[in-house]
Amino acid sequence: MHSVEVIPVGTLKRRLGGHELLLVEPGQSVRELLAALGVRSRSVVVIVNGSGVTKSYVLEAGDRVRLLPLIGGG
Amino acid sequence: MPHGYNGKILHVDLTTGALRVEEPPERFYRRYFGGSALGLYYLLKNTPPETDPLGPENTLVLALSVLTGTAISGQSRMTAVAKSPLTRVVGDSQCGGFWPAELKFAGFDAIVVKGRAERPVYLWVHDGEAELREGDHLWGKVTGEAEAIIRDELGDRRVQVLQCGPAGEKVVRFAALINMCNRANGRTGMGAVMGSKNLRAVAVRGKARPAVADEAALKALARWGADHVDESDVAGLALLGTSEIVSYQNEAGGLPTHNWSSGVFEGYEAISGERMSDTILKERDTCYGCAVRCKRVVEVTEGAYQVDPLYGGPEYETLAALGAYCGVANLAAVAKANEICNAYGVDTISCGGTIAWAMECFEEGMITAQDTGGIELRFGNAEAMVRMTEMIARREGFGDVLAEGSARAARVIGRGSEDFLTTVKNEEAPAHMPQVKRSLALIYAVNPFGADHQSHEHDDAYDPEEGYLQEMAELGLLDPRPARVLDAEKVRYAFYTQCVYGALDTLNLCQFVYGPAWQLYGLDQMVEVVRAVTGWKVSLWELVKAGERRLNMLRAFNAREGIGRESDVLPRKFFKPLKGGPTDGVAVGKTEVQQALDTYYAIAGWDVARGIPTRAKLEELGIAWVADDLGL
Repeated sequence: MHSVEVIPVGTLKRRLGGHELLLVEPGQSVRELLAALGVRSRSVVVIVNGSGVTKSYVLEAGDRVRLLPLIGGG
Repeated sequence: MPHGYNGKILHVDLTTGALRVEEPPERFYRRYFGGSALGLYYLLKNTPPETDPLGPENTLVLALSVLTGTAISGQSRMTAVAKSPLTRVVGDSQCGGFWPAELKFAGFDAIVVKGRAERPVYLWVHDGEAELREGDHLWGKVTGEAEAIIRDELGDRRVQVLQCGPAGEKVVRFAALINMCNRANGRTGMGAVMGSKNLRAVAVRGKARPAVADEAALKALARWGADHVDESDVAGLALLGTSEIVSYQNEAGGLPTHNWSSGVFEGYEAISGERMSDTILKERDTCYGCAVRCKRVVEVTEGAYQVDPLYGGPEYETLAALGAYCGVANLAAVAKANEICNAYGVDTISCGGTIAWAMECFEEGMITAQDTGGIELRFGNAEAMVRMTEMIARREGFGDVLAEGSARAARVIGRGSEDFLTTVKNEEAPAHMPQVKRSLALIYAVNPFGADHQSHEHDDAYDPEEGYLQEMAELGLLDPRPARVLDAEKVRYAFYTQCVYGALDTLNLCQFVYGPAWQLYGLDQMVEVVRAVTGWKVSLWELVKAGERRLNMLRAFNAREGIGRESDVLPRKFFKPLKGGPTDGVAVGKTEVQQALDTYYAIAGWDVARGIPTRAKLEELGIAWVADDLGL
């Protein structure tokens, strides 16, 4: 497995063209990935292989990344 | 036969010890639905103007709704209303957990408490019956101990206990009601009202599930929700809890820091949801029937701040108020202070807001170590924050001054300390900044029970680029605005969503599960849930009108106390430029707020000069009796 699986959830899936799954190259940071996808970095919770990561996390081959929207209040 | 509700309201007179069951007709439930509106009905009927909030004449209502206790996510909630000892106007607060569902199973829809018992008592409600029991042995005990004693005494570990803690007994003005030792009716001092009545707890247990009109439809809706959590916009909430927004708020320049002097906190990562998840999180927890599982259970077994999982883990507001507000970048310390608040029964938001105010005063020399008994109450001093939380909860030393809330403490201390307040109607503001989300400037000002962040949909949902525009269109909101704008359209958006949130607090639905934007269930599904449970052919229009009714009842209570537009005032601090980060130099504008108020009162159908409901509006909402009460 050479790529990174990116799964946008909820409204993010809607905004990224309705795709269930995107395959991207490893080696970029989460921040760079979000910029490339045109998603505002702060508006997303990023879960890699089941754990929350910061935006500076560098994606590795085989990573499974879920992009989750944030709730509006709380 | 009634569907969803019991048709029984329990009235308790603590002065005489008399218990009475009222059986209102179906039309009563159809008009008020439950929760906040039902509670306000009894508050308005039973509590004359100028009542002492801590006196026997105050009424405390604990209200469920027609949906509470049904088998679907996000319905097990209770609204407490009373005259607030903190704001001296209406008090209103919601909780979740298992207690609300259990009260429905125990056979009642609401409990209306008046008077004051001579000695401490607790109320035991079970299987359609109720009795007052001696409570001297509970007095002074933290919530964990009191709950254990009650369960032991009643011989049933599954009894659910709602209680004020020792802070409520000592009438800390922002004392909370606590259930299961970690859920709170946090705001507006409802715990102090319960404590002032010598009522220590309400224990409930029952087996009667509410009748549901269309079981199959409800089951399908419940299953849909459970199946969709992980694909929905609350998937992150499920995993990280409300703490998921700490990093976002900081990056937006909207994490209140150093008593609201800045919107960015250097130490934010230490108190973030990701950090909690990686370190002290033990497991996730949930409320009765809810598939989202957003609650945190934390444990710390080593070091200076050890935390018992019984008392739950900090929500976003707590991480902000006891963390960022105070400059404290120590997660264990914040979790410890959260434990103290849940053990003693204290609102974490007002507690953090009051301590942060005191810290700024200390930094500026208006409060000294002599005042604090030697405690260096400086930003970033985790030990001082934890110590002061405990002193407030116990009304010890300087904690006795702060237990009055920052607004009263400022009046006592003087020396210009009032300039540092972050209060509206004497209640400390929660951790969402109007500098960033500008409609909060309006809602914080006008909300009848003080600055509240759960009373409308925040501005991001109406953002032209990242908003929930399809959902907003369902409400006829078709002209999105950037978050920092507060024009007539934004006021319209705020008012419409305020009425929707009023419906949520009347139906006692969890605002993370049901709502007009990112929530798990949309508004059309909310209508389907009400129809399936009650068998009534309700419409969204009817439900939003119920929310507007609730708003007007809240506003009318305040009008009876002589409070109107002149109290819809933001703290001076919000008009001063913030320091640092993306919101460096940003402030709320005085003119935009005054204009927004004019627009808002007009849209709401109120007297613009006085800021109070008109007879016409109250009649339109089917509550002419409230207009009579107001002498309009």
